[in-house]
Amino acid sequence: MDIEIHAGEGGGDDFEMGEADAERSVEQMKDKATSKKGRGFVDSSRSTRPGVGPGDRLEDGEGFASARVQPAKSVEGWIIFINNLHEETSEENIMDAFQEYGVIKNLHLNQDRRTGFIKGYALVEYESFKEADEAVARMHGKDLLGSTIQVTWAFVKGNRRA
Amino acid sequence: MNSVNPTKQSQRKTKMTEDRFYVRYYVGHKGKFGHEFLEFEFRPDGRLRYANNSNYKNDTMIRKEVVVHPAILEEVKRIIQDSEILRENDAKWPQPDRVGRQELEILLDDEHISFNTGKIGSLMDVNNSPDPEGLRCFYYLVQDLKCLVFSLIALHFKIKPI
Repeated sequence: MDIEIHAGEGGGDDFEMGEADAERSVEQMKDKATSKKGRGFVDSSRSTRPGVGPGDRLEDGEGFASARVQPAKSVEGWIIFINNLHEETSEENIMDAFQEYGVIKNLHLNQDRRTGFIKGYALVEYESFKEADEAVARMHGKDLLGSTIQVTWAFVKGNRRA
Repeated sequence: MNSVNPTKQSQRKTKMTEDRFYVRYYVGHKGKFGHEFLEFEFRPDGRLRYANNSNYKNDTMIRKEVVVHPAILEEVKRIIQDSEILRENDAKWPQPDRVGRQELEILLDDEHISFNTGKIGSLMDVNNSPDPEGLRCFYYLVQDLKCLVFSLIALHFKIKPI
């Protein structure tokens, strides 16, 4: 397979950029990869059909600016992301620990499709910002079933959209 | 999968790869309802873009975009690293055909893969293929990624993917 490696020009930590720039930066990142593998590199079918990729306009906003991550509201509430859960954590364990901060409107505790154990993360929805904010503040770094859990917001405001 | 604490290991690894990260998955076919597909991508700035086009019953294309917290990008990296997909190769996988095609593109630091194959109906298809181990790796990784993306999209937008 003949792959031409271009020398990209930086970018990647500069999020103050327009849609075309954002697209270009991902392409530049790809160019920097030193190991390329797969039939996709010699297959042109992708360029002839619609999708989410280059050329599409999905109301491109900006991504997060790492220094200031501000939570974003979801359609019916505020979603938090819990990570580094012990593999035997149950929905009840999560409910017990997190309903102290408010009524849990939704809980996704997804499984590893191969092992049947949980994948290690959970998503929890609260109705109000205050409840979710408190859960993040109080539960981050806490111990659950012997595992130190990480609790953050799931969705954040884009750099320019605020 | 890995019995020796894969979480810790991959967290250490991802520290160095903060910027160069991109994931795209596509599954689709062209049939009597036109081009029906599902595609999503995680971009390095946290943007999750999602497109789902089904012409059956209603012919609207659903396109959604949201910025996820850096912790979720880290989780996606962890899932990818633990799957060891970067060690695989699609050379012996079934070719995409009229029934459908799947594409998985991942950029992680210096490694860039762009794999494609046909639709996989069940694990039977996997076990009967010339590269069952590689295809099984792909099969489970795709399910785990879809599972996470569907949860994120469903919770944030209150729409049911597929």
